[in-house]
Amino acid sequence: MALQYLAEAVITVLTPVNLLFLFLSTAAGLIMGVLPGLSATMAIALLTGLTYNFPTQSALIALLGVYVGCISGGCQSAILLNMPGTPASAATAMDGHPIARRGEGGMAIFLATTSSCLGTMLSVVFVLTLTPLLTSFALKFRSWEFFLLSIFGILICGTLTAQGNAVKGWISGALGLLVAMIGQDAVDTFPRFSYGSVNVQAGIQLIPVMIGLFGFPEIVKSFRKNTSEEVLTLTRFRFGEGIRTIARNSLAIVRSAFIGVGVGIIPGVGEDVGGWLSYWATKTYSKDRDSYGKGNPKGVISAETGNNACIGGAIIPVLSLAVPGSAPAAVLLAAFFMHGYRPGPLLMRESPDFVYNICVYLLFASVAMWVLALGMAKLTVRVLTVNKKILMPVIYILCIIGAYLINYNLFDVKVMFVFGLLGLLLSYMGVPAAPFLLGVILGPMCDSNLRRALNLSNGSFAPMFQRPICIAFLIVIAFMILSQIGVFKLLFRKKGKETE
Amino acid sequence: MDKKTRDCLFSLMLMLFGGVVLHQGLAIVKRAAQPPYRIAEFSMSPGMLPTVLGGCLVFFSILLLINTLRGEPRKGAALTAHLKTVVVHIRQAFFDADMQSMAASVAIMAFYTFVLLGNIPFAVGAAIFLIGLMLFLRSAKIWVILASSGASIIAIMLLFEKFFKTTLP
Repeated sequence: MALQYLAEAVITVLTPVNLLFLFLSTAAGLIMGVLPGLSATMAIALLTGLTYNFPTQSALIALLGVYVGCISGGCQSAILLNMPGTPASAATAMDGHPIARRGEGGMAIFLATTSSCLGTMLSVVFVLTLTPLLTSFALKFRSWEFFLLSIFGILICGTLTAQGNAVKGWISGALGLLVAMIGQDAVDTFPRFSYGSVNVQAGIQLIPVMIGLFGFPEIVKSFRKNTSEEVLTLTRFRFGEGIRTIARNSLAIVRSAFIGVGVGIIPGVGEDVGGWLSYWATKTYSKDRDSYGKGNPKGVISAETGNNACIGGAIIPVLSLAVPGSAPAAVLLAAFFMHGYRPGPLLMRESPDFVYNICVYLLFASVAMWVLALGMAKLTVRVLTVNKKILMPVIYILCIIGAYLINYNLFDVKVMFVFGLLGLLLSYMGVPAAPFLLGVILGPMCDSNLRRALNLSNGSFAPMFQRPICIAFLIVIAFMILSQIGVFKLLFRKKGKETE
Repeated sequence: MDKKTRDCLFSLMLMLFGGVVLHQGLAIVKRAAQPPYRIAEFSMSPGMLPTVLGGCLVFFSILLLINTLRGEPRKGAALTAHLKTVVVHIRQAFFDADMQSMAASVAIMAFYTFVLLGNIPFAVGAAIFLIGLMLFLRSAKIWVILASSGASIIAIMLLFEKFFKTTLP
């Protein structure tokens, strides 16, 4: 049966229209990825709105194409500009730019692009194998488990994205949850925080919030007075030498793919962490650690494999638990819902072909990315010279259209603007936006499952402490909170003093 | 503004906001207890989670404030110093070229979003917005601005109205 689904997906993607969508969206993703400031999340959020009226499969192909293109495209500006096009490519700049500085920019881009392609392809293997396993495990989940899973997702995302201050990440997640509470509640249809407005009573749409949070701040930041960068030129390279370098580093590629997938599975933790962890692991296991940061090709290969492997990793919990593994995957989850799919434990029963479709689309997107990124490298690199003060106002118009097309309602555009201002404030305060987004996405799941569970238990929390999976979640959550607020440090310090 | 001062300002703002959410959450609990809903039990009320979230926000903001003031011998004086820095920073921001440019751009974007959009045809509104913003930012020479704005609007309209068959605002 699986082979039949895979064959059908291949046939779907090979139709002329879908191939056109695949290449166009991947090219668009590459260009957006190349441009510093346009993130993958923003690109997918924008495209979700724009592809709303597309046939479902074409829309999915386009969304995955732009996702893969964007994450991979970021390496070009990281290498030639020392400024990552997307946060995912931050680790690539460490060694990529020094390689370009010594006149081997073309080789660095080839290595990065090929590793990106391999990273995505390897992650697809994990999607195919882990998703059915995780889905069958998730069938044991009931309301209490789903409630705790959503809380766990938001907390771990907050912990890992807040760069040393987990409280800020949790605040961001709590604010996101709060936004999800706006409008009629799912159980009693009681209007919350709507203050008589019919538009607000219908709830806050996810796409305008996403476009506002991730797109708006980048647009406004590009309007600063002084912004100038030196772009290095693309140089020729020998294809055979590039392939040999990739083959020599196959172990680093496989290790980075494992790390990338692992990081991707953790809710809300994005491709940037995958890239950095893979880079760090390769450096740690390397004999010549001093050469890292000075133009070691292994650094570029591991960072790019790691961040692209995150794509597949992040999609695994989306498909099996309806919990996004990264911010772009969160947008993708919303897009899946919009196109009539219900990711989660029942996905393999309701739409068994969906997982295989996604895998095949990802594979084709990674191949399209490789062909386009190398074929159009000279063109995409020229995008870096485009004046951002001309480009960004046009991007704002596209943001407006993206927000508007969800419901053909101007209220959504205003919501996008308001959340854009909030995104700007969060960015200025150093508060990560990813947990906020995860809060908005998981809010309905958290609220409705908690209320349903409490209704069934007549308002008692006791059943939560009687279920093994719930107890496991509670222990992990308690451990995470206590460790982050320094309770363990305090305890160990006291113990140390007593023994002294 | 340094990181600690920013965290201090954020925690104070959040404390206030958390208080408002807490109050509004309790108001929802009260309203839900009345007809036609009659949900008297707090744990089953639609206001329970918002109230808990309001409490969490207040608790987290206190934690953040404690983190900010950790290591300071005189907490009160440190808090006052942070607030003074905020006031100085706000004053300086008025004269900062980057801030001025970004604030004015946001104002132009707000004017387009809240006033022009939906009240005049899309092409006219978009043209006013693009040309106005690019002129303000001095993005390029006037003819480049006019040409790029015109080309962008035509491309967007062709793509969405003719190719995707959608209606633009």
